[in-house]
Amino acid sequence: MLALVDCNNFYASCERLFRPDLEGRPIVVLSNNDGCVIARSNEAKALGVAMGAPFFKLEPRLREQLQVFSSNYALYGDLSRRVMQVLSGFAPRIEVYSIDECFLDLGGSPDPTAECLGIARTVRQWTGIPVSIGIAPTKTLAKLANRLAKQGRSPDGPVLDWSRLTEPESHLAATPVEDLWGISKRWGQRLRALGIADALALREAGPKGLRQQLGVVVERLVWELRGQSCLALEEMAPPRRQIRVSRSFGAAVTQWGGLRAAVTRFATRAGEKLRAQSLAAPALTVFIQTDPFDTSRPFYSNAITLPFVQPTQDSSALIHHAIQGAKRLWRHGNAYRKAGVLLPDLAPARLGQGDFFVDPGGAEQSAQRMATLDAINTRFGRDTLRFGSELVGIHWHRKARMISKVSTTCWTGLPWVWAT
Amino acid sequence: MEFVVNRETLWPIVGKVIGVVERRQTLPILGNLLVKAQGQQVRFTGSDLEVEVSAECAADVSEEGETTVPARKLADICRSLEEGADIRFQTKNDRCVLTARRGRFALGVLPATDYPTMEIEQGGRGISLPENVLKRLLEKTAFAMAQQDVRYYLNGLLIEFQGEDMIAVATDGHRLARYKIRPGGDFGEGRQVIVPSKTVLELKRLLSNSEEMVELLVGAKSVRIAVGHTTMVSKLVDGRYPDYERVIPRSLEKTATLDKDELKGALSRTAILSNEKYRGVRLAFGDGVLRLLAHNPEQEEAEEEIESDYSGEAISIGFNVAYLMDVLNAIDAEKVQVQFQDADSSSIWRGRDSDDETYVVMPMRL
Repeated sequence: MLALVDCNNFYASCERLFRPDLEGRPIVVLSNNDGCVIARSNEAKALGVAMGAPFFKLEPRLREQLQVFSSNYALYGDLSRRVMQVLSGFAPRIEVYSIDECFLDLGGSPDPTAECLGIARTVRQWTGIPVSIGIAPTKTLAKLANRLAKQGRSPDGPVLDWSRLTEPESHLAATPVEDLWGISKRWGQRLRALGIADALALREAGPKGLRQQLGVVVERLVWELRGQSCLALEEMAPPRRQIRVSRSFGAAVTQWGGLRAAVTRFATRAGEKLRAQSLAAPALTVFIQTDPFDTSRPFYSNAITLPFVQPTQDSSALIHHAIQGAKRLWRHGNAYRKAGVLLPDLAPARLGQGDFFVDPGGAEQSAQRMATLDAINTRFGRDTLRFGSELVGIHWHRKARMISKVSTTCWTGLPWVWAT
Repeated sequence: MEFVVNRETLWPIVGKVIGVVERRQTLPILGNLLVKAQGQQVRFTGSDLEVEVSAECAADVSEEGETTVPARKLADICRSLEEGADIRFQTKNDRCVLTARRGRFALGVLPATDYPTMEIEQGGRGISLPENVLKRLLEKTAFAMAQQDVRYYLNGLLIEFQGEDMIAVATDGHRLARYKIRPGGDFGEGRQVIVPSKTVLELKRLLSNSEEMVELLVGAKSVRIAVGHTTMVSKLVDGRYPDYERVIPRSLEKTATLDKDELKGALSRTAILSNEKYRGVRLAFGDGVLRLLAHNPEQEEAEEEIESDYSGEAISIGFNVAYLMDVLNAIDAEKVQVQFQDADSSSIWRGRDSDDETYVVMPMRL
């Protein structure tokens, strides 16, 4: 038996955690650069704030009622880690599926509902984050059960066991195919063209016929809806294939120095991520683009990939390639809105094919230099030691006017409590 | 321009020149073949500005002239025409019309005067050697050339003339192939040229196993190769090849002799359970036996043993299977000899008693 634990309105719940005064108030969290709404508390949902809505387009009167936050991923990431840690104590096998979702293998639990009610209570008590739990024999059904629990359709509060539903067919019939796990809008259209509009119709469809028309992914889904588990629990996160660091700029970048500073920073950040995961990059892609919504100027977007002689983890090599690439993409007179660095096709750093013409001593020196850099930045704080080109011509940092403090991982972010 | 040529004569000629024509060109005219009818001969030429191949055949020319026609379309028409058909080429109002039996194909043309033919370099050293010898030289080495490496000088084959030796060397930094022949004559002081990899691969395709003589003319910036009625002119890579002698280890103390086919079979089987991306297989040399070991991220394992004449300290070295297979495929002898030292050192491979060939393979950390 599987359980899917999903944090309720996760980002909004995180923001509320250190602001008990916001209990019962509508909260929204905005995306990078305070663009769109990416999380809503139940109260905000009740006011009709749509997911993904551009914030500036909301009614001014509505905006006034909302408590608005810029996204604070350092805080969300840390709270997510805490939730997952608590969950790992309840099941021998778990799969952390996203920042706020986790699958648990309940094994042959005699009373899964009671067990999951205990899990939800403990997570709430130990981390302060409310969760909903769906129980079912397959991942797809667990996901559905979780959704129903969130909608308050369960007699057992935050927990819903699919097998205890009296009429599962009616719930399936009420679920549009696009709402199923792994069905995109485009796939939904193709299914609808075949006359399959809801989950019940999909469950009753012939799996072999669907495989011919839509492939094995959809066939698996049919079996999963029938209670036959096809998607296994993935305990180990597969090693990352690529690392991408990109940002939209708060203010447009029109000077070369600004872009150079930006790509230096992205390459630095990508290098830190690479080394943290013991990976090495065989090449680096850099991309830049102007504002696609600015109709007064032509849109420009371009990317270039530069290979390394040997896969590398060295920030200075990454920065060198990032700047060289950006220099080739740069067109004077454009106002750049976004840039990024992508490291594709990553390989474990310790594996590797030697090269006749690359001095192994150089690699060793580079490894030592990077280890020193990382050690200093870990001990004295991120960005204590930086590459010079990052500091020249910076004005591109992201907008985050309404960001909360990082109350769990940073001393200066500790919340104050007054006792009277 | 007007001439008639039989499909069986034309098809091999077009097949020879089509290889250098890129699928996507910088200049539109490079997608065309230059066709020139003169006397009772027709010459077809294809080029990508780096390498040019032209070939001629006899034809019944009723009007001399030249034009250029779309290369792929001409090749596709030729290939699909009935065997033995006579094809008439005739230029008419900006079209080149092909008629064969009851078919008629009017191709668009571009003016022949715009076709960028390569200049012929004056001087240079001439060498003649049998076609099959040159083919063998390329087959022994070309596989180790780099493809699109940032070190552009590795994307080609080094040809070195030194005393009586003509030596071909290719390396992509991970493995190296060297093969030596003596075409006759003395070349005197050492001289090196780098032939671009596309030229090498195309030349390898053109050569047959005949013993006809091939004429090479090696200039300072280009090389010209004449094989029968086909001529290839290629630019050389402008760069310095790294000191490859430094890469060939001099003092490897351990040696093993292995059966080539046994090793190939065992490698291809164990490789099935190697990491799909890195294709690493460990070769563990022990007394009288070589063990091959592979495993993958799913923790599956393969192990196989073959006989070896090695005795001494147990040594285990990781290799990329693809590199070893390339080497084994290039070796003719039934027994291969490998010289090695430890897990971090390059090893030397060659056929037993084949001192003219040297293959160096760098190990892989597994």
